[in-house]
Amino acid sequence: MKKIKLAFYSASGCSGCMLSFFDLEEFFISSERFSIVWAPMFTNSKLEDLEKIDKIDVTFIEGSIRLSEHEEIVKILREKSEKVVALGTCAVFGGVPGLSNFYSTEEILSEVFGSDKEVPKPRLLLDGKYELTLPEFRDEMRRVEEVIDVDHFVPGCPPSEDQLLKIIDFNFEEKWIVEKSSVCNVCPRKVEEIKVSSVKRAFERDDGRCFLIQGILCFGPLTPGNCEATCVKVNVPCRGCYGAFPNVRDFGAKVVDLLSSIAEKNIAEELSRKYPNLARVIYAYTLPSAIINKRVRKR
Amino acid sequence: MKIIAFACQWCAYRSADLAGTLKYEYPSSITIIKVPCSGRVETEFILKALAEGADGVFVAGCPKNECHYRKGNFVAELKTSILSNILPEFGLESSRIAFLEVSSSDAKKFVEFARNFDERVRSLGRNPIRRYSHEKD
Repeated sequence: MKKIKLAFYSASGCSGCMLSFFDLEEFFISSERFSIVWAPMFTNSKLEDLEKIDKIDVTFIEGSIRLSEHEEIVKILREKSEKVVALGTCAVFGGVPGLSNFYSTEEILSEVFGSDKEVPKPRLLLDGKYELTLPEFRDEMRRVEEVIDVDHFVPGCPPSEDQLLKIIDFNFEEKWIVEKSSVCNVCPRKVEEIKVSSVKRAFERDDGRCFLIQGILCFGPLTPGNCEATCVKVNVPCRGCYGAFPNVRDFGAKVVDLLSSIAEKNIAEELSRKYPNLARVIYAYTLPSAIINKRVRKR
Repeated sequence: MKIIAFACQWCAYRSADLAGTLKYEYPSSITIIKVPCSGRVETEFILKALAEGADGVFVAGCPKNECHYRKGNFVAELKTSILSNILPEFGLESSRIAFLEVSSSDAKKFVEFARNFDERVRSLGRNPIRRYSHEKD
């Protein structure tokens, strides 16, 4: 039997999405069906090895794109592979690392390295025999889709078991492997009608009713419900880690639409007082995919 | 200078129409887009207008309790005020967007608001998104 050739690559992600494959027994049971040809995270795979490979069947890319190195490798992978799957919210929408778009490159580097002097610089190794170069740090975080063509999108932080089971069958056709109904559909806190008249933070007293009725920001109505409302079941409001539905362009804008249509009175002032950085809350997972996707700054 | 106005077809658009009939003058920078109801204007529309380089955006609807669809103007007002609190985080001034309630016979109010808003946006200068992308070219 011809084995399916797989490649895994993690750009600026946390490797959690890849590890969720290894949480599945089914992945190991069906392991005779495929072979992993290139995966720098858990096999000894170098860039030269990738250049030697002539064809990959399915490539999983995790994490968003920031460094020039990510961009180069992702482009090579696209050339060699038949199907490219963006795995996880970071690859699909930009994810939490995408929040760095609120800051400039200088701000990030000075926050991490202190002064400019400590920023790592290319050095010469072994008396000038090898030149060590560092990849370029780009101005903004980008989604995988902005760099290469992506065939399938699997959002989730990390993707749920039922999504992964669909993937390891390797004959999926649909472009978006995600639930079509929202978190509210699987949420145990059922309500008839949502009306908001005050705003609360998530750590304030919770009386067990729907979070939105109490005035706590919950993005359940806008988020695909693959997670089976795991967070709400442990009394934490949904933060939208599955990103937006496939037909939604801008998640944060939809949150503003949602809030304004369920509010009973003008809560704007209270909202900005309780959530001083509201944009960072509503765009927590989807900033690079937003219409205005970064802080405007002088170049 | 480019200002986009989303005007509801029942009140705001008619008041702008009346302003034309009465030969009132308002700044030529304002481009009016007719919408069925001010509540129909999604946040995405406003963000997209700003991202494409509009210097200011305002949404105009019916006076309080006079919306033809009961609470469209309330939704629009709340939407613009929430959005104006968010915009500074993106480096845009919150006074670039506004909400106006005006009745269909009140052409004077529309014209006055249009002039004031144009002045306000002019004092802020051009939209930074356009300003900086232009400098790059």
